[in-house]
Amino acid sequence: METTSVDLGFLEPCEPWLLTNKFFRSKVGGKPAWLELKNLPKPEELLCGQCNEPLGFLCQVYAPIEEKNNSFHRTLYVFVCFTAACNQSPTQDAKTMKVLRSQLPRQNAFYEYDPPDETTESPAVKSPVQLCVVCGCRGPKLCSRCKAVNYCSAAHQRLDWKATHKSICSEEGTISSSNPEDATNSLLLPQFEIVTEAEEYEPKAKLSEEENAKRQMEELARLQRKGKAGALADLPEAELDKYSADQVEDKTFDKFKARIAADPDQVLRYERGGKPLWLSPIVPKAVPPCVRCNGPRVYEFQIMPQLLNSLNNDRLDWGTLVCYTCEASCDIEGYVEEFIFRQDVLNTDTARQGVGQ
Amino acid sequence: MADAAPARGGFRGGFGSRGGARGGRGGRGRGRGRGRGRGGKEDSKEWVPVTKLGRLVKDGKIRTLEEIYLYSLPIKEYEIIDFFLNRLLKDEVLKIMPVQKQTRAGQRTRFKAFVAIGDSNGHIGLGVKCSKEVATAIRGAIILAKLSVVPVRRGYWGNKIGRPHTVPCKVSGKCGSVLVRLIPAPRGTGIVSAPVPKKLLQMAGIDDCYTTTRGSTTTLGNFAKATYAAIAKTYAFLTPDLWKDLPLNKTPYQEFADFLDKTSKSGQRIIEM
Repeated sequence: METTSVDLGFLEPCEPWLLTNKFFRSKVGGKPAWLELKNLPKPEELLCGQCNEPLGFLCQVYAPIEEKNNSFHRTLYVFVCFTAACNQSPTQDAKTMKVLRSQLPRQNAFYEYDPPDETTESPAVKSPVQLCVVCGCRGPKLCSRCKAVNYCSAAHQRLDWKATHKSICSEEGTISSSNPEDATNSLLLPQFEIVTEAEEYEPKAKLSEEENAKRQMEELARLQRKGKAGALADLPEAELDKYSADQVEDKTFDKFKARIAADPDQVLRYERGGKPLWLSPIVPKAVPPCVRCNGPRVYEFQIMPQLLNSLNNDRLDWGTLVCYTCEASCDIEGYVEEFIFRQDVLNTDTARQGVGQ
Repeated sequence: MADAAPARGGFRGGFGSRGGARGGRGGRGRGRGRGRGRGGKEDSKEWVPVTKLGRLVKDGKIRTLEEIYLYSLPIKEYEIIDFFLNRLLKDEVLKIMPVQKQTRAGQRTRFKAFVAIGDSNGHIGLGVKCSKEVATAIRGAIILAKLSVVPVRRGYWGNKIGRPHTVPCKVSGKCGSVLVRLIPAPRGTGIVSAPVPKKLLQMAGIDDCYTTTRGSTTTLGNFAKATYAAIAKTYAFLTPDLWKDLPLNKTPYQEFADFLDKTSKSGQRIIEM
């Protein structure tokens, strides 16, 4: 097995305090651990383009670029819409998913110059901006009664009211301040860390033409002697071919399955500047250029469908989510939107169309 | 990891970092003993589903294979069929033949394998795969056969004694100009048909059947599709024993999706087609 240039991501359980912003981890679920803490995205920027509901946080990938000083710390955040309809049949150009990029130099206003101590529990770096207690995004709105709890939108306020806040809200302020970090609700996915390993993949050994042919003919002769070479071996090929005309091979999907077979539980594939592992022949026509610097975008990573097995959410569904980012990783203040493309599994099942009708 | 220290001053690397500064592997390890570099065996790996149907099957939310057929959901992972029918499926290689193509560098030989798979109890599939190696062709053909499994319903010719042994009624399948008709036969008749459908019907568990065909059966593909359509229709035919009204179940997708999102803001209802 040799290692390729692809990094794979796997899910591992982790203590919640290690997954906060100052430890710079890649993670799935929970609330986003923001990198740049002042210019957080506004709630209007994180709405689904199809149903206008607030997007839910899916995962964040810590992917610094070592050659540049300004991207010593660099994280990409992926948000998806949790509505069932947006996952079943997303319209072609609707933005039901968003990916944001944030980066900081090593010397910055929020974190220490030196790495943090990872052996003892310590609280996260607090943001100067108020955060929504439900989803962890910027929360400009307040509960109108107690004025002590922040929300990002009316939808989340309604959710929290029914869940916990109704019993503790009063005009003097919230009676008991339950630790907001412990809040688990239907909008937050189960939290995991994403650990990296290099991909190990063994490409098929290539033999020369004659060598291969000779070996295989011997193999065939061996099977024929054993009597395993075919019950209908006397029939002409055309006769048998008729019965397989129905067969539809999805070659792209087969190649996808073959490539992931060595590590079937991978949830993320990372190769900046490389080529994504496509799941179906439908690929984006043109990747739009970066919104800030107008430079080209390159493929960076893709999220695999195996992630859905661990999320316990029946509504989310995708084939693979492919993310493209600015090639130059241009300098930004805060968060900039990058391009994400969703590929669904192609339905090639003609053999079964007609049954049950 | 010591060698990571100079590169980033002790900070862990993230994705895309080379030279050991990768986060997560060195310090914490994976704790799973995966046998890397020792030639990991493929068969011992548990199936991790990749499609939605696969996830539903693995979680046990779909009880029988027939439910999938009833709703005609696409099956893209052969492990789904294995999950329901594993030990019962028998595969049979129908034919392996070398096919040659003339190239500038000489002749290129590949091997084409035809495999039929069935459990003699109502399920049959056929797969064809061409590959440079014999073993790969056979393996690929078995997978394709599993993906193409269709249900076959059996019934009786006359008295309902013993197990069902023939098609439940006259069914015909049509494709192009080819019409294939399967007719119930009394016990002991055997299958009266051309060699390939005879094999398929045998593996499906049909013991007796008359067949009749019409049209230009040498049209590639149409004859095959017609036979398949005829077999598939055995399940679609409503016979008196099925008259008892089956309650309309939701499709597996809908049953487990929350369509009426209660927090819909503008009161919009999402109507499913």
